[in-house]
Amino acid sequence: MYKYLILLCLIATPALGQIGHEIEKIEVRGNEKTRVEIIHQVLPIKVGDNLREGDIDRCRIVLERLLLFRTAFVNVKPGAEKGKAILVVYVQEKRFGDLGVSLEYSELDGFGASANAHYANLRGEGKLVGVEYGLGERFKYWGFHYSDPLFLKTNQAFHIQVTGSSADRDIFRNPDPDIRGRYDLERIGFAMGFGQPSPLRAYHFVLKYAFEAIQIGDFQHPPIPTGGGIFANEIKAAVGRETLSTLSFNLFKQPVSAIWGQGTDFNARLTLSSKLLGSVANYIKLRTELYRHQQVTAGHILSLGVKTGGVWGNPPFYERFYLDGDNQLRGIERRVIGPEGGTLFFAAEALYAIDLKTLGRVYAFAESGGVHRSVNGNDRRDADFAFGVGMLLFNRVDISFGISTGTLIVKSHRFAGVKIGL
Amino acid sequence: MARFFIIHTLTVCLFANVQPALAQHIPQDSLYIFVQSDTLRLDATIDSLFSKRTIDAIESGMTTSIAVQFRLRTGRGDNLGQSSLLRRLEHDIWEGQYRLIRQSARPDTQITSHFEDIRHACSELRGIALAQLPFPDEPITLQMRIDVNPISPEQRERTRQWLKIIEKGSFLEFFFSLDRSASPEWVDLFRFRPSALPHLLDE
Repeated sequence: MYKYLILLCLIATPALGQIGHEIEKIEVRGNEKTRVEIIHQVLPIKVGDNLREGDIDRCRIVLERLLLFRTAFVNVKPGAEKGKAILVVYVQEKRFGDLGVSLEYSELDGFGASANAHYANLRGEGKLVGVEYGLGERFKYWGFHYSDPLFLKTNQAFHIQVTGSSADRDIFRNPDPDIRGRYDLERIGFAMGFGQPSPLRAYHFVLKYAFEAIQIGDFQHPPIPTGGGIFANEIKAAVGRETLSTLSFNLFKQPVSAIWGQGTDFNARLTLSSKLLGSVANYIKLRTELYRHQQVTAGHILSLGVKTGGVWGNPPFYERFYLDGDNQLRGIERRVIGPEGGTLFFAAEALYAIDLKTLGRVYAFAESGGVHRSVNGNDRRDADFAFGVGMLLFNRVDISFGISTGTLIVKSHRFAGVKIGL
Repeated sequence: MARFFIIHTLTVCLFANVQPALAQHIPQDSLYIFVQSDTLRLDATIDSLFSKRTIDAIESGMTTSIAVQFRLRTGRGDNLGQSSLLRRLEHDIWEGQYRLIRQSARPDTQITSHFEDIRHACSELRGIALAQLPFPDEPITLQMRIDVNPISPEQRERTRQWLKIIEKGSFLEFFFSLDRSASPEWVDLFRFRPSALPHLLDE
């Protein structure tokens, strides 16, 4: 019965804004604990502004991204005088926040389960506090975070994170686990950031400071020396505890890839580490990512993307670039290229995807990746190329097959999940 | 011509009044169950059909679904009949116009600029057909559920996706999100014996 009732409702269309009218008042309805001034502050349109095309959608988007509301609806009605309008905002608040549980898989960390919870709208000021925990085959983590989306009544966000993680890592790739060699990498630290995460602008800038205590332990030397044993010896020498203190600048554009729409994704992060800040090493690290998604015909998207990175100075080995995790390729197994990591890296791909509606997407790809590192004055370069096909099932599980390499990759990751908005 | 025996006659035959305290409810003195031409029918007035939250949503221009359902159950749990009243309420706040669209074999639309007219149209139920007679002469429970649900365009889009998924039986059901779209529970409204029902005489 309800199914048909909902179908009945699908026919309805919302009222559209009256372009050009001057906003004489903003009326907020449905809020019980959220302060009206918080909603006024975050809206991209103010009293006295003229309503422009797209303003209604922009208002709704900023409200939804606060993560405080289960429903946000924005509309306009006539004002008291001709040519004026009243902006009407309706919100249904989350009573608590969100709870989430999911099962995950990644090539790097194997299977795992994660849970998170956050409380929304602390003191009615839009602040969020949350915790997260994950336990997997090769990786476990916990975290606490606090964020204020409207820090000091500005449109700048402030956040603090306290996190800990423990990862079980191979030194080299090998089917025989006794030959790989291994070590544990544990990180405990905190970070605080300040920036502009709201979608009022296309590009956002976030400044972040992080301090981490890093411990390398449980080192097992690989029995077969690889690459002259330099990498294994480097890890062995790092066994123990050290601190990393970094300042980073992140410039990014809201991603469009999540919805596979047409658009451009951009992300650049510059990280500075200095002994003056209490860090173990001096280095500068830059990572950039640029993707262009172009609709060819309805349901067909061509994506061209490139990731590059460079680290200069004397970075610890775990701060180099490896072709795994976020840099995982689609047709080449992780760390087959440059297993010791590189101070320079690139990965480029072309993806032609066809939308299969609710089932997901199928795609064909061509990609290349490589790393470069200088060891004792000698350049070590490694790069490869692959092409193949893949499928993104239900927008959750990304499975690709490298035809040229005969490699099956499960690039990501989230198999099942429950998210409860309370 | 006699109209029908009033509900006080019926209360003599009641086993119990089991209606819980709900925000949306039907007061006992507004509930009339009667038989007319071998059809069991109901008159009722729903109190507080629209909550403040719902009125806020409607006054913001959100489309709202209104579902009122009745069903008759025997003590063994057999379903003897069910009746559904499904409506969609749209509010064009720019034009100041409400449109109440009723889903039925012959859909009709009521247009008004007064919310009170809408409240009256949705709350005053008259001659609702519940089931065809005959019934077994055993205690029967009248149950009710009401769902008044503002639906934003985004929710409608999500629901549209879900309906596609459900219709296709997709594995995507594995990924789900619990939200308020869950149907409300049935609540017992009234218990009676069919033999004690008043009969409306045909004119």
